Parts: sequence; C-alpha cells; structure tokens
Amino acid sequence: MIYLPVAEVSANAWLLIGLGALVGFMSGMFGVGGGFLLTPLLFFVGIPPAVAVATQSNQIVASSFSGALAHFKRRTLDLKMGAVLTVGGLAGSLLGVQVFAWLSSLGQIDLAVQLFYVVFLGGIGAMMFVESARSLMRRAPASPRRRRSLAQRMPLRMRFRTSGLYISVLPPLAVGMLCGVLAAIMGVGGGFLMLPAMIYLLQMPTKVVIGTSLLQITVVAGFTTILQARTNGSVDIVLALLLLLGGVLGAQLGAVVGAKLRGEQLRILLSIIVLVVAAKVALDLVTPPGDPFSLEIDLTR
Amino acid sequence: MALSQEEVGISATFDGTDILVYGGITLETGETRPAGPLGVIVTVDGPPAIATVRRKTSVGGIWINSDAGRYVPVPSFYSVASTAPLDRLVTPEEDRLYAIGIAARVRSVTVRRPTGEAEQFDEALQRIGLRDGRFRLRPDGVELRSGTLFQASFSLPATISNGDYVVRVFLTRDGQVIDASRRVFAVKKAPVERFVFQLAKENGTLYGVLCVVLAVAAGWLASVVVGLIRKR
Repeated sequence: MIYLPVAEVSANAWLLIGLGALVGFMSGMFGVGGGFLLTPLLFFVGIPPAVAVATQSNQIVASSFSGALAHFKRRTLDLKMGAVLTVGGLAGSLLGVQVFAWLSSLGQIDLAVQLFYVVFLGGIGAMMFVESARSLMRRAPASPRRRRSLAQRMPLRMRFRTSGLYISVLPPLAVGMLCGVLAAIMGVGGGFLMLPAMIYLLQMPTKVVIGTSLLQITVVAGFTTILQARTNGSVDIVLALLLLLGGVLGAQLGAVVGAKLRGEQLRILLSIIVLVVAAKVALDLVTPPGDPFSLEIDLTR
Repeated sequence: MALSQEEVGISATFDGTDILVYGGITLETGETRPAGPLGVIVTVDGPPAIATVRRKTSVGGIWINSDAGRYVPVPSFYSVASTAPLDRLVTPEEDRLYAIGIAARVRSVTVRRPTGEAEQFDEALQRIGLRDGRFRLRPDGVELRSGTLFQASFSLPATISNGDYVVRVFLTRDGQVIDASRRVFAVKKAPVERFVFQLAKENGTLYGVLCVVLAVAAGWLASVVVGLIRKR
C-alpha cells in the first residue's frame, strides 16, 4: 500500500504498476494511448474520478513517448505528419476543455462522457472490425491503388515522404483537431479515433500510423496534463510515477510484439478491445443500478 | 479524557491507524438521587464536508442522474461507540440536542432539496455512509471497567481526510447527558506528502510541467534501457 498525496487515498503499488504495464503494452502495440481503458480501471481501483482522468493523461505522455521513440528508431514514424496532426490536436484540445466546462455546468458531464464512449468507441470499433475482418479473409492487402482521395485534390498540398503521400494539410489538421476535442471531453488520448482516421481518411500505411499517432498523443496528452494541473490541481505525481513505471516498459514490449503482427491482425485485435469497452459502458447505461442513490463527499476547505 | 495519539501523520506507507480514547469517571459525592446505571458514548468527527446524494432514474431506457440533494456540513467521517445501544442511553430529545446518533449528527443544513421524496435522500445519505464505512455505529464499542474507567478504540481507515478530528465523550444516566467533554486531534500529511500536495494545489502550472518532464524522461529512459537489453 502506498499513499497518494493528491488523490488522498492509499492504493496497492504493485496493482497500479501492473495496470500501467497492461495499458502501456497496448499503447506500444496498437498506437493508442490506452486512456479509454485506464480511466475506467482506475475508477474501479478506487482513485477519485477527477484525479484518475487528470493523472492518466500524464501516464499516457510517458508510455506514448516511449512507444514513439521505439517507432522512430525503426523509421515507422512520420515526423511531418505528426507535427501537422499535433497542431490540430492542440487547437482541438483547447476547444474541448471549453466544451467540457460547459457540459459540467449543465450537470450532465458523466452522461455525456458515457454516451461519447458508446457512440465513438462502438462506431469506430465496429467499422474497424468489419474492415479488418474483410481484409483478413481476403488474405491480401486491401486495394492499394484507390481513386484520388479528397485529400489529394484539396489545396495546400504537402509531401509526406515517410507515409508516401502528397496530400493537402487540411484533412490531417481537421483529424487532429476533432481528436483533440473528443480527447479533452472523454479524458483520453484519442488514439483509437485517430488511428482509423489516418488509415481510412488519410490513407496512410498502417505501420507508419502507429508511431505517428503516438507522437501526436505524447504532445496533446502533455498539454492536457498541464491544463488539468493548472485548472484542477488533480494530477497525482506518485500515482503517475507508478503507472508510468509499468507503462513505459509495457510500451516497449508492445512495440516489439506489434512489429511481428500484420496490420489487419493488429486492427482486428484493437477493434475487439474497443468494442468490449463500448459494450461495457453501454451495458452500464441501461442496467438498473443496484442502488439508485449515490453519495459523493467533498471536503469544505 | 485522553487520547493515545494527539497527531496522526500520513506518510507514503500510511495504511490506516487506531486511536484509543480513555478516561475515568468522577462521581459526585453526596449524590442522593437513586441513580440508574451509567452510560458512556464516545464519538469521533472528521473534517466537515459537502455531501451530494444523487438518484438515478430510467429515462428512455438509460439510467441517468436525475435528482440530487446537497447537505452541508456533514462530517467526512463519523464514528459512534457506546456502552449500550444509543436508544437505551439517551432520550430522542437528548440525542437531537447533542447530535449524537448518526441521523442526528448528519441532519444538517440542506443547501439543495431534492425535488422528489426528501426522506429517501436523507435515508440514502446515512445508508451509503454506513455501507462505505464513512459512518460507523458500535453499541458495544466502549468498555467500562470497574464502573469508572472507560476506553474505546477507533480504527481510522487509509482513506481518511486530513484535518482536525473532534472526539466527544458523553456520560449518560437515565436517558440524560450528565457530563460531556471534547478533545481534538490532527491528521496531517507527512512533510514530503504535504509539500507535493501544496505544490499541486498552489502552483499548478509548474507542477504540471514537472509531471510532464518526468513522464518524458521516464519514456526516454525506458527506451534506452530496452535498447541496451536488445543489443546484447
């Protein structure tokens, strides 16, 4: 047991390191921050929600950066694309924080977050599952030569060498921004949203997508951590240290395992995990609670 | 009345603690009234808090928080120990007057009345508080020895908030409180934990930057370590 000074509760240190490692492993393997999984897990362990949401973004910085470095060394990271996505992401994150404050003032932030989880996780998970299942069946890469996408016809085109693309910067900016907004509202890094957007909208190669999204997540999550620490003072450094201790090692391991799997296999695995989480949240929304009443205690300081 | 600890320090390895309340009863000499048996009640109050009770209802098949009641101030922790069940020691009037029982202690100013049945919210506050171990009731928690020496042990859980804790001792006879006394002990974070907490609350930006730098460093370190291992 270790005392967490900001959360003001004691928790099992090994359990927290283990959770960090699990989520870090997924992070390195799939290129997602893992926040959509870690946040509910932390609630379950008894960390106060405000601290869980704020601190996990700090843990995501560590595991995503660790994963991004691993991909950078294997040249599966498009720095230029990452930079464009990051610019969009930062703008979106600022906007998202405003939306979050507005929803909180309405008193329905919990419901909003849960509905976002169900709609976005469910929708994207289902889409990815169907697509990757289809391409796995065919046992051949899905038609590499597609018709000229919208991104290739829009203005402000730029060459993204690592991704082998010559497209407008507007779609990646928009993708980054949308993910930033949703990430801020849902308290997650937004990787599970960005990955499919990069693959299907921007048509980037799957191998490059993971490293690049990790880079964007590192920066956006870092930014979110500072915003959270500033406005809510709810980042717990001890909790973050324990989580990232497990997280960074898990991420390295995940990147190694991920490199051995095919793109479609990775996507179908990720889509299954995403769907399970979405189903769990959806189930919570419609199941009658054991006790319709709940109690929340806040110290008057 | 005395306490086993005047101050409880919360350090990194804090996992809850026990506090012992003990004392002696001085009987007034020359008491003529036919005296009933003595009762002792000891209570421990945590720092005051705002309690919000929410109720979920099903709206179009989805369970959402639809109604809420807010109570201020409610003790963040409240434990009552006594030599016998409370209703045998004090009359309902005395209980209310001294705010001894959980219902009496928690019955506080309501800042926001729920729109629905208010009694159900009041009841839920006590019920969930008891279930979470935030409120505790032990009718046999006080030991009375040789009629004049009492002692009660309270276990404080790992999740207690820091702040001032108030210990009250009531001496009862025939349903009346005949004597009462009060003591305060502090639950404090150890220096390092307090420093981190204050930095987080008072200089959030600096603290946030520090956290991010630490996270990036950890990510880089892990990458280097794994790189070295794989080279071998």
